[in-house]
Amino acid sequence: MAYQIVYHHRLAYDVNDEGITLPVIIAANGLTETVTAAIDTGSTLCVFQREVAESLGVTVEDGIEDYVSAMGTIIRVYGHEATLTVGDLALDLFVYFPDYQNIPRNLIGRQGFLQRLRFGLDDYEGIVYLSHHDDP
Amino acid sequence: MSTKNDIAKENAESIDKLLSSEEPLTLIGGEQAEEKVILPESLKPLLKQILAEVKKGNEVAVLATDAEMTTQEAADYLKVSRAYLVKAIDRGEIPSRLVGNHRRVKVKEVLLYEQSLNEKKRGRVVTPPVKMRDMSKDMKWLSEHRGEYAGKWVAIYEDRLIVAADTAAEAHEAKERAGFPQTLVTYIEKPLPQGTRRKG
Repeated sequence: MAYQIVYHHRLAYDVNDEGITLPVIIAANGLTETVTAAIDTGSTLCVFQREVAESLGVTVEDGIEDYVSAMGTIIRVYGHEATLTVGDLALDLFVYFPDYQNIPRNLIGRQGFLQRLRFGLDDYEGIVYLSHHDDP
Repeated sequence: MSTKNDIAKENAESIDKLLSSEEPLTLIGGEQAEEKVILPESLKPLLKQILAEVKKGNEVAVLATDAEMTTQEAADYLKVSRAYLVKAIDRGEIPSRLVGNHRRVKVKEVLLYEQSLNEKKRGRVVTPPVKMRDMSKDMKWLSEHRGEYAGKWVAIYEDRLIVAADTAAEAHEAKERAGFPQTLVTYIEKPLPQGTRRKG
């Protein structure tokens, strides 16, 4: 049996990069920053670098405390309301920032983002397909 | 009022069955078991919910929705910092009243806020607040220059490197000075030693 899925947005990424990395605009605290973030289906939360929060003037520790597990280590993170724009798509959600600097990359996880979208991947061609979850 | 209790599984199942039955529930007490009270039907769902939580080993607290909490109690319940809660009160998201110099919030308002917080965490598709410019040149630049600038924070506008810096703060300062719209600021990861793979 064949299945067909319709996507309304298409984004190219660099297949030579270690992750599926896309340009993202993050808006919070009335400011915006343009950064890169890797799609991570294994990550429950959207976790961004502390440096991004600092450039947005967000006080990290004032957010909602949570914990994420990565490679056997537990990281304390703080959630803040933000808007992420990827291509023509935007979502209001909680983005989490760690309590220390130097995590190597921003991660777009499931809660608030992938769970709201229909997500397709052609890793051979380096193409991500996206649609709202309730698009026809 | 709160309780932490272990109910033997078989006992809990009997109680659960009783709560699901059509028969009215009767509370029997007193030394000779002479005092009997028929419980209102409306209590059944609440008792069922309490039992379900106790069965899971969770502590259960029963609070009147009109009862008031301090900001610290409300923050503890919501698992947020007190500062976060106070900001939500200041934004008018949780009604409060002043008792002397201290704010009090009603349990029902905290529960409503919890519900809206959970909805926000689930995310909501919105109209993009800004139109993202075509970033293909920026991404191509990154792809071609990744090796040269590994371990650096870079600010890029289209195919132009604005700065390669050791810290994010330096990259942001240079970005602000350059004044291009939607300048991309990103950290370029250092390559791993040969033969190792990144995970997570």
